[in-house]
Amino acid sequence: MKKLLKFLTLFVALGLLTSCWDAKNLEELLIIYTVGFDVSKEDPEKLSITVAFPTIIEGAPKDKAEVTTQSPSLGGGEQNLQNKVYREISYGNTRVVIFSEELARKGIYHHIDSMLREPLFPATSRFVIVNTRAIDLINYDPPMSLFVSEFLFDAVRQSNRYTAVPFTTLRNFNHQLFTDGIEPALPYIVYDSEGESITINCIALFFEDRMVDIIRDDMAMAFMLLRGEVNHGFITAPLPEDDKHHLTISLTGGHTKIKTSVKDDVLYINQEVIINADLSEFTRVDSIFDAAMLESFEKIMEDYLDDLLSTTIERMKKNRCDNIGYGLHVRANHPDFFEKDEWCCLFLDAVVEAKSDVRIKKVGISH
Amino acid sequence: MVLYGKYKDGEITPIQSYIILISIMIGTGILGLSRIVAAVSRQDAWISVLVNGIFISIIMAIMVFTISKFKELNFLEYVCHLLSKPVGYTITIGFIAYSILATGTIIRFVSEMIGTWFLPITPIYVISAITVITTIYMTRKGLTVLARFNEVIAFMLIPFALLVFVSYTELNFVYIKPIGGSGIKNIMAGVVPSFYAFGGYEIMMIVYPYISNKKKPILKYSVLSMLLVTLFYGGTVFFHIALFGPDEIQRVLFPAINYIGAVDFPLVERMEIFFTVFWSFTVLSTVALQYMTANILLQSVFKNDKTSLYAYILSPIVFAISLIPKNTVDVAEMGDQVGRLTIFFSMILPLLLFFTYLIRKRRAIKK
Amino acid sequence: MLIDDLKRKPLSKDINHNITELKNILKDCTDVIFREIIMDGPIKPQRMMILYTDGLVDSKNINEAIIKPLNNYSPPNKKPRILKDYPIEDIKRIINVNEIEEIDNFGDILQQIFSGNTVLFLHGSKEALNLDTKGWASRSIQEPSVENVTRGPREGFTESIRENTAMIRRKIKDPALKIKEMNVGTRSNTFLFVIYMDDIVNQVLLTRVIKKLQEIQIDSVFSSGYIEEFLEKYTYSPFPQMQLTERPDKACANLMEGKIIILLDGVPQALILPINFFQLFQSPEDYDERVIFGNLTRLIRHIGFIIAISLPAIYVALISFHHEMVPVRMIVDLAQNRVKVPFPPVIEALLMELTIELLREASGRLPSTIGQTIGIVGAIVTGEAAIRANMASPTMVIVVAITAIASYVLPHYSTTFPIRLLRFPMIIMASLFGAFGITITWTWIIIHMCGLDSFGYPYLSPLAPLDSDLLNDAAIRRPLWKLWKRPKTARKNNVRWKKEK
Repeated sequence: MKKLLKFLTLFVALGLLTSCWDAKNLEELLIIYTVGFDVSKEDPEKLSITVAFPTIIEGAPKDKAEVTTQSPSLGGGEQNLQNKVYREISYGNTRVVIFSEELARKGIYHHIDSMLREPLFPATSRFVIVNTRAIDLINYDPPMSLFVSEFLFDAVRQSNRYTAVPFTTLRNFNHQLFTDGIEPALPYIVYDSEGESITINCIALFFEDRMVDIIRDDMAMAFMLLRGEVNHGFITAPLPEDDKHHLTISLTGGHTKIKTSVKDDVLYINQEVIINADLSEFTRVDSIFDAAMLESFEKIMEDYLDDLLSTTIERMKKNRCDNIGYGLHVRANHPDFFEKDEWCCLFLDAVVEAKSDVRIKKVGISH
Repeated sequence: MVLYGKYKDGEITPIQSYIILISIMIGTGILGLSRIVAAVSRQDAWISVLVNGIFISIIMAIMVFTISKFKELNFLEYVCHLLSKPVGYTITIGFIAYSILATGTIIRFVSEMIGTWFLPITPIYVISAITVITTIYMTRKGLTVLARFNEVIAFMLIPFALLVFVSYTELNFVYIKPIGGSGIKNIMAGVVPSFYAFGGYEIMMIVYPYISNKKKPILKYSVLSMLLVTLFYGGTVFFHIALFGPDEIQRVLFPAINYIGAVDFPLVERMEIFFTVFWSFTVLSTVALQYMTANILLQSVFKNDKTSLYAYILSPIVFAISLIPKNTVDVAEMGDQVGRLTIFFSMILPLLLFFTYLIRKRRAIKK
Repeated sequence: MLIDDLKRKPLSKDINHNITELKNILKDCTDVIFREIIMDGPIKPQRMMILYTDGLVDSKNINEAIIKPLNNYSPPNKKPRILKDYPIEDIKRIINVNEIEEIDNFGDILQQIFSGNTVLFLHGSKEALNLDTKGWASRSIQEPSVENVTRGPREGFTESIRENTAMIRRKIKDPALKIKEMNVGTRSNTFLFVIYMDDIVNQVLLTRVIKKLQEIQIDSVFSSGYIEEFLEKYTYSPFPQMQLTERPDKACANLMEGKIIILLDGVPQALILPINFFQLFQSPEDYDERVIFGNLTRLIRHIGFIIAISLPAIYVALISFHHEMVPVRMIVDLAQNRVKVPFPPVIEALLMELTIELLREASGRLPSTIGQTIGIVGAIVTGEAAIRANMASPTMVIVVAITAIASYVLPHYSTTFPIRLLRFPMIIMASLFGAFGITITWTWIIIHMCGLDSFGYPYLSPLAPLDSDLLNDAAIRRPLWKLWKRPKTARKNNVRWKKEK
């Protein structure tokens, strides 16, 4: 009996040996590092999908290559793409997914559904929006990195560390899309195709899966402060009654507190943004070892920021979408008041006040 | 001849019995637990899980209390003693059938998971066959060896448990609020689906007679190990909801896996695949323990010396059961049906035994 | 005729008969010397015969202590008239040898002369005298060649069994240290000593081991491996159930844990039994170094064990199945390396592992100075050439090299065999099922180890069955002053010293 079983096991093992269904060697794969989505030029209804991959063969004329196809969605495009290349496509290492602004304004959920379903598609691949066509950005040769994906990946992370843009992954996007009370926001890349340079300091605001607005520079930073993602970065405020001189602080961290209340059917949202910062620039020659002086700096900064924050909130109210996620807090604190389908209108009617609280810690080593 | 310690071959130590309890419970249930429960009790799913855990701990206490009155008898014998011979045999044979069915279902579930995450092209019967062969190998040397295996695996559960904290930076605890907001009715309704994840603890009824040193406070520690699992599950669900929110979580098939994929790791990409590797160890021990249950009960029915014979005989049946479902939806349905059977064996049966015991005792006192 | 049979054959009173019989048995055994001695008897010259094996005896000793006193013996004046010859008791008084014993059968005679003793035959006596004249050239005590340590004693066992027991006795000066003599091999008649601490060892275990040793049916034993296979229960398991040591201090430390040491004549290693798996990772050095570093090195050995078994398999799984787990910065380089290699990763891994095993065997066979050179040159040249010829990718070579290094972390060489063996099924399973294959194979290995026992003691103890008392000294060790309990291998409730509360 036992011998028979051993033989059987051996037999099964040998049978298995002859066929390894899933073994796909690394070099037999087409490793995609970036996927770009554009509106097709020929047919505006269709999508133009570009994938970029390294050629890996030594001595090949190019280190990397791109393939483009037209299709209604990524799911359908996969077949077309596969037919254009000679190795099996693997999306397992996709780091960055690029959408053109044109497409983003039309809505992108259709195209990401197949990414969500595929278990091997990394949930942490970054989403970015670009002002030109995605394929242009993919063709861009970054000066200090072989792949544009690596470059964008690091650049977005760096911008995020300097409180300029949010950090949106496939999972984040999906999460913000399907959670009531928050709308997605993506980093928006300004690509200057003539100067061959990239700036990442804008944020694309979404309503559901459609892009509705772009906010830039200071406002983008204010948006990040409102979201509570206070990391590093610099804020410069003009000194009142003194145009020649500046006051700059360098952020070291912070957080935000959101309080909500309902009075007479009116929703009040009070937000406090606490910013820890060091003094990084004060161009006047006055000595600053003075508590009152520092306090006045904080006041100047707070006034400047409060203005900025309220403009940003107004901008979002204008778009009728809540990208900050106030809805989450309203839902948590006033579950009866919150209605998920009408949150945009409720947000519009709500009284939103954001106050900043700047706390300057260090003043620098010489002045 | 075994020289070590007090116990003979086929027996287990009290510590091993607690570990068996923990490791049979932590298995397939954890993957979809937060989704299923959150569908009913939304952000309060973790409360449902905790309530369920406490409830089950009480049943556990009742169960161990009842069987501790029959230290010398095995499952078949004490059920026969309490509920008369025909009923006892019927229940035992029912239990055997249930265990075989449950083993088959779990094996299918494992194969399905492995098929999704690791081996999409490999035929499901191959993965199933490998799992069945492993199960035979694990169970053929009897309960003692399997219990030891579980002890080794228990050390692997520690990193497994630590993986719960990996997405800490991404959590947003506003999703948990309002605590208790979904209403007591919903929280209680959520207890029912969360029960399935706890299934398997009925194995205590079968392994208790094999514990060598019954002088140890087995009741206390087995309830404690139930509470440990409850805490682990409750914490997991809590974190899952804090990451996904009650809305998105319902769109994720296995939140436990996606949860780990939410953040980037410095050294290894795709931590979720790591998780699945750890998970397959624990689930293999779940499968083997469930299978062992059937073997032990068969042994007690036919009064053989060894269980190894049944480990071989039952394997084709289990293999065949694992091939019944046609697709993922079928697997889920089969799981639900087995879950319903679990309610009988893990809740109704212990209570039934307990009350019969009380009635008999009262009668004896009267006489 | 076997010695065992000859043991049943008694000597006769007639010396000539005995001599002819022996000459017949020892025909063509040119190394056995017969020397006749005529001494002045009470009445007439008394004829005697000594018998010994050349090379095994100290001939100076024989001359000085046996032949000279007998030849020079001048009988005292008062002559006993009744006796024709001197009785055996008188002869004993004349001979100056430290150990004299009377033996009365041919088997014992042969056994004694083959172990270096001299046998003296007297005319008219049914007994012969066995005189201890052992003295053959043996290796002096040297530093152990395999189990080196930087701190601690540097003596190692030698081929001479008596010296070995002396080394142990020098370390444990306790009457409870028992050295039981046995004999194995019907033809080789090898001495075997079972050494144990009488009041620490588990008596049930001891009787079982002795019974098993007595039951061994073998004609010759030349090394401890011969009896190891007879003693162990799971011969087909890759894991050793006994440990080999060439260090007397290690043997003594094990004795104090209630373990049994088996010493074999002519073998410079001792067998320790029973053992557990974690013992294979321990080295005497762990107790000599500071607690933290001792633990660190143990931890490294355990990690080395896991790496040595699974690293090539993990590599194969990553390359053929889970490429999405490789960091993007690495994946391009990996793919570029791989693209030139014509074989699938499994074959590549198996080929490279096979090469390493070949190198290992080859360098072991050659004289040590050349062996090392061959090892290094072979590894470097083969690795380099394999990469140049696109037979293997550089990553694969690194993986194989790390694996090979990691497989030598175990303090004893022979215990590295399971690691080297298990790597191959692991690679094959990984090539079939990726990470799931590795999981499955580890499950097999662990469950196999759970089912093993060494003389009734679970192999994975104290991890499974969990024993908190014993975890004090397993994968990590606590300070020595906390190790006051003996392991469960010892007799029950046996402590090293009374703990003051």
